[in-house]
Amino acid sequence: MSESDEMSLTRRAALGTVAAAAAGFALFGPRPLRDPRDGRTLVTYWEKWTGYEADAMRATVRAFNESQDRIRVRFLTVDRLDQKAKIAIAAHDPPDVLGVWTHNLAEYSESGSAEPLDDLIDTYGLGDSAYLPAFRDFVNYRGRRMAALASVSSCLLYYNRQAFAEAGLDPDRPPRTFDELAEFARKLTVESPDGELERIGMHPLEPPWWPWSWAHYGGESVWSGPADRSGGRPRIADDAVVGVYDRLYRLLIEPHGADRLNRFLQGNGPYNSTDNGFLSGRVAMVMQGAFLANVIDRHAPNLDYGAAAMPVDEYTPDRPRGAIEADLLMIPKGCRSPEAAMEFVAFTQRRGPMESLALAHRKFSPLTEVSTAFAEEHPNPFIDDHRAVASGPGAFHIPLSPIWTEYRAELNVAVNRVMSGRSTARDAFALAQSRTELRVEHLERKRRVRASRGGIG
Amino acid sequence: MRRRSSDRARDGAAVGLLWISPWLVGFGLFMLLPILVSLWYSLTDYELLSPAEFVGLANYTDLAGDAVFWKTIRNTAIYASLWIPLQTVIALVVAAWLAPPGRLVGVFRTAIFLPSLVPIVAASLVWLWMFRDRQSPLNAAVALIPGAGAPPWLTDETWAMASMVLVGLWAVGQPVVIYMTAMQDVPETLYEAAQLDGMGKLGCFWHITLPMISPLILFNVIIGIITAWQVFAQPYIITEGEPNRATYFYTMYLYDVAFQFRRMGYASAMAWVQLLIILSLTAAVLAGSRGLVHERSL
Repeated sequence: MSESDEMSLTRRAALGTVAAAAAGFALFGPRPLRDPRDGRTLVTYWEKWTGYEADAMRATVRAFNESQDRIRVRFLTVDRLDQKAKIAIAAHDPPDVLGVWTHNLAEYSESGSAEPLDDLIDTYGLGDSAYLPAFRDFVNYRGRRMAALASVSSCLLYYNRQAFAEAGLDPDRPPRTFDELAEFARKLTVESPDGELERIGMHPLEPPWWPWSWAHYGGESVWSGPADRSGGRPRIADDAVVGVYDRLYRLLIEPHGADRLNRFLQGNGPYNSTDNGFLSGRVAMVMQGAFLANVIDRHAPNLDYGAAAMPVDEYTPDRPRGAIEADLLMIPKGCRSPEAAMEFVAFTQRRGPMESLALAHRKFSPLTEVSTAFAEEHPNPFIDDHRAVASGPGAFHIPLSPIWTEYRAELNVAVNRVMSGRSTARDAFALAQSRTELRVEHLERKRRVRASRGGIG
Repeated sequence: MRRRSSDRARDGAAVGLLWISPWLVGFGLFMLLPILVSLWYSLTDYELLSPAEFVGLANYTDLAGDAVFWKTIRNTAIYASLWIPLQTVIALVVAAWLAPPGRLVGVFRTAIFLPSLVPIVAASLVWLWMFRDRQSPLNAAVALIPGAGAPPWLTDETWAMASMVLVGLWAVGQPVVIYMTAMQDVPETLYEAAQLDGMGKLGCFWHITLPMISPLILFNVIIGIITAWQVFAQPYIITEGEPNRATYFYTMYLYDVAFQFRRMGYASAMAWVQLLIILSLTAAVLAGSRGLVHERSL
């Protein structure tokens, strides 16, 4: 074989390899829109849930797939879904359905990254009246139906009845006001002989998920204007709000020592484990959502616990206050099968699938109509209390603003600084306020630009 | 007819390029292009879900007034200035201990290197438990010190930074292996000559070993600068930047700005500033090392 023959053979081999790679990409790269097995339209659904929460939604997906023969939903649990979804949307290759958080409603809607779901109203008859009033904010954005509800929850005070009895407190009479909360917390605190804390009554940052909500329990709000509107401004530095957190510090932190509490909290384990501060008996009272019942069932089934509306600045029995939240389903703009995705989303909003999921998640149904069996069979002993808080006039939620993620980050740091004794509320909140104000101004400028171009202002 | 050698060379180069073309295409698409695009984005207001708008140098000037940006610069500088010298000294000491042959040296070498093989996430979760649990080996060891209780590893600003440095030192095995190999490569005749002149072990280490392996110390310090200024996974898992952003490092803020707050333009500007910082520090170290680093290649 001559040298030139060898060269051309090598060149043919190289070209063949490249061609094979291109053919492989063409064959196995982009997915078809239809299931090659039976021609059904494929709908890709990304969900943030894992474990038993994902299993519950997987059952709903299975029920949908079995209920008809035109569409097949592929359920995928996606870690860090928020980031990946945004990148997928920006890259014009999003999934068909996204299971997101409430704060995503404004982000996706404002940027035009989500399909309006008006069909849910027009075709499937899911008007606002289908949902409890408090949750209507979570499905509409600036007058358009933009999301559907996957599951909902509200916050209650969960307390350890055994610890109450040991401290000489009535297990059937949880605290109702901030002052009572401080008094109960003091009585529930247990110290070791060397002065270290062995059990605390309550800490505003255990768990550290809703530091913003304490403003509302104190009769204030971290946002000016109604939280269900995209307008408004942060008001964490307002005197009244500062006063609420100063008071909480004086009532719940100062008597026990911020440093001692910090050291104590370090010993609490992950939420979904036996080392959870509340489940392990180290923390006698916590603010939690209905989903806690699932964690208790799994890790501390013998825990003797109770739940009631959160203590507030002034007790009003007919107006229990509580933060509400939801997991949403949205259809991103640019997805491959929006109509099929809409059909699946509509299916999840039916009473049967909604109640099945809620039962598995130990949550209540956001639908106005609830079946008798759902109420009777529900495994969460405090589900009526959760629903009552969400149904009442004292329900509140995060401001539905596109800048909430940044505001929340600032709030978390600021409240942490206050409750760990590192800063006064006035100083910590002034910094958070000024940083968030910059973002609000930026958002408003962008809205003006968009409006001048004829888009959503 | 015989082909001219220049033709053969050209054909050979073409075939070579063709063979590496998958890598070239991958590099161009997934490295070079994103780098160039990020430079463009750093000059725009780009929020990922809406089109980018050109804003000139606004992102860079905004950085100058961003308190959190400066806080993360400060945190990362503190971390780097603690971790790099500590890692270098510990790695050198351990390498000097393990370089000579001896009983059980192989076991110790393996034990020192093993943590480097543990995935960062798994190691971080173990450290999280070590810090949190009062009964963990770490806290049990601290409790043996008379009068000492478990420190507030993760809840005190100073201790939290110290904890992150401690976690960083966990994977000291890699530089140990490099130093150990370099030490074993130092000519034995140098030690013999020094010992004939009456030099002790410490003197030999200081006057022979260190100068001879200095190029690799420089290499490790530069790698350390790059690593320290990109520290992310351990603090992200263990402290999430808390308390009071005391362990909030530069790359964590960059990540949050990009993927939590969707400010890709601002994050791109941060990435370019990070590159400039690392380049400047590397250049400074290289310039400062002139005359200190032995020039014989090992």
